Amino acid sequence: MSKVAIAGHGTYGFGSDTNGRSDTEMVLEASMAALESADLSHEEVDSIIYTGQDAYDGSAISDGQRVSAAGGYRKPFMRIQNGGGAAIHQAVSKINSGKADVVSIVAADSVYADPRVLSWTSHEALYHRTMGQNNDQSFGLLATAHQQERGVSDETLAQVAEKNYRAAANNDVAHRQEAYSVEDVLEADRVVGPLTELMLRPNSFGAAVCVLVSESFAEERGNARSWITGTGLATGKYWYRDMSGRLEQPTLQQAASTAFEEADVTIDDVDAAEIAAYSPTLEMTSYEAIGLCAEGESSSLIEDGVTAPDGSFPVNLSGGPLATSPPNAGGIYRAIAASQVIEGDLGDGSAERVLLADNDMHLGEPGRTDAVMVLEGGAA
Amino acid sequence: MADELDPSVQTDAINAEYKYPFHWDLDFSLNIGEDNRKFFEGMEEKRILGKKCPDCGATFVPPQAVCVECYVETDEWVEVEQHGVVESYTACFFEFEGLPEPPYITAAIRVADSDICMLHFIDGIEYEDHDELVEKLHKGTEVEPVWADEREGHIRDIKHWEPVEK
Repeated sequence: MSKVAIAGHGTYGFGSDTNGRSDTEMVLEASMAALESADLSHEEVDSIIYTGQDAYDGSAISDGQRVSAAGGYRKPFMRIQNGGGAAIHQAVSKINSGKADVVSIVAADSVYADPRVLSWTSHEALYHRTMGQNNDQSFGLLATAHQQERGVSDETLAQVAEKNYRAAANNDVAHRQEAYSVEDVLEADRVVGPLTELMLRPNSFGAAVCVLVSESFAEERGNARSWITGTGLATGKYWYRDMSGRLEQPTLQQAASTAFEEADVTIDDVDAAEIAAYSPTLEMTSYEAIGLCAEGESSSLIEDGVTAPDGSFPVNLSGGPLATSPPNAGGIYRAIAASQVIEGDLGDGSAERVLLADNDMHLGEPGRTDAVMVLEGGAA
Repeated sequence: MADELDPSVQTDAINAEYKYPFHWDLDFSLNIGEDNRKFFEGMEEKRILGKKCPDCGATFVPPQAVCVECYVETDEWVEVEQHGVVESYTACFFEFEGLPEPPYITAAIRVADSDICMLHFIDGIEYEDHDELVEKLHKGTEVEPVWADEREGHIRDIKHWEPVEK
């Protein structure tokens, strides 16, 4: 495929509140910052993709209310509910098909509703909602299976959280910026199974905008911050019957394999990753799914500090979803963070190739779409 | 550690004068279909029913209209043994509307030789803390249903499942 550039990005937030702003105000600020960083005017944007769940916005067709603030008035404007990664995947496809040269991807979180109840409404009505199944319950079931099938200790789960918070302490847009210790994580209130409050994501508020441009456009304008050289998308039904299969994260495996093939690289060519992992179990099993280690060996990566901020393959230099987790804007923010790792704004600036793995699991795991991207450096 | 973790914003807690609370008040009515209706009629009679795939022979409890592996309609009803095996479980420590007082246990239970699992509650285990629960409940623990005295054709006609006494 032709490569596509991330030319600009902008954020508003993130925090436990919008700091008095409306969604429109946040989208406007983040969009203007993104266009400025891409050295583009809003007239040059060909198309806009809004990503978010209507339920999180408390309104149907929620994208319509953000068209103007996103600079999308009189432009093609579409909405994707499978997360920011899927939206970026579709933006890349749109650019590579010749339908657009400049696409802005926009998301915001400004409306509060209890995320556990929202997640509950996303589950099957007859058999699962009656049991109170929601995102935290889903992550708890998986964590118990992880511990019992792979022998993972509470301390290892806490170490995963700790190294994320250590990274977030150096990220001035992270929601949780305190470097919580392993003891802090273990002593926080227990929520489900072995998972404490600090092993689960906060509900973050803010906005994120990412501007993608075609290879020819980036070369003409010289505004590439990083390049997307491979993309993969995979969807699956995650069965409660098969906890072992859930731990293997087959859709992440499949999406990563497609992205690696498209970028003509292997995991050995990648230097760092930003991964949508909403609990320590999901982060550890992601290492195995993307091929960073063999099945069941992720504990040693944590214990050896391989994926820590100062490790040889840092995962989530942004602090990841445990530090910052806006339901709508999370995927876009992860893409921005991955680009910032390439740009040298997160981490030590040595990464030349970064993996971005996003999914739509914020609401739990009744079904799941994974989107994986390979980002590379190199000036346009 | 901070005295207080980042709380999620409440519409009535922060800058209340600048927030606009609203809610969706919508009633939904789901058409449950023939398979679910027959399953729940069985529950009312304290029977657990499943359906089988005509191609691969897999059994589904609760019943599934289609075998996702073969992509064929299931067509044979079977009454299965009232015996389950725990595939995974989690203890819930937060309150959730309409559900038991925490902590309570939700589990993925494979009923008889079903190819899929059913979510349900586990009870009848005495434990003081999570560590003690982990010692008493495992993947593979055998369980049996405890039926409600008054049944109305609903998944909660089984009050909960509890470990089989040996």
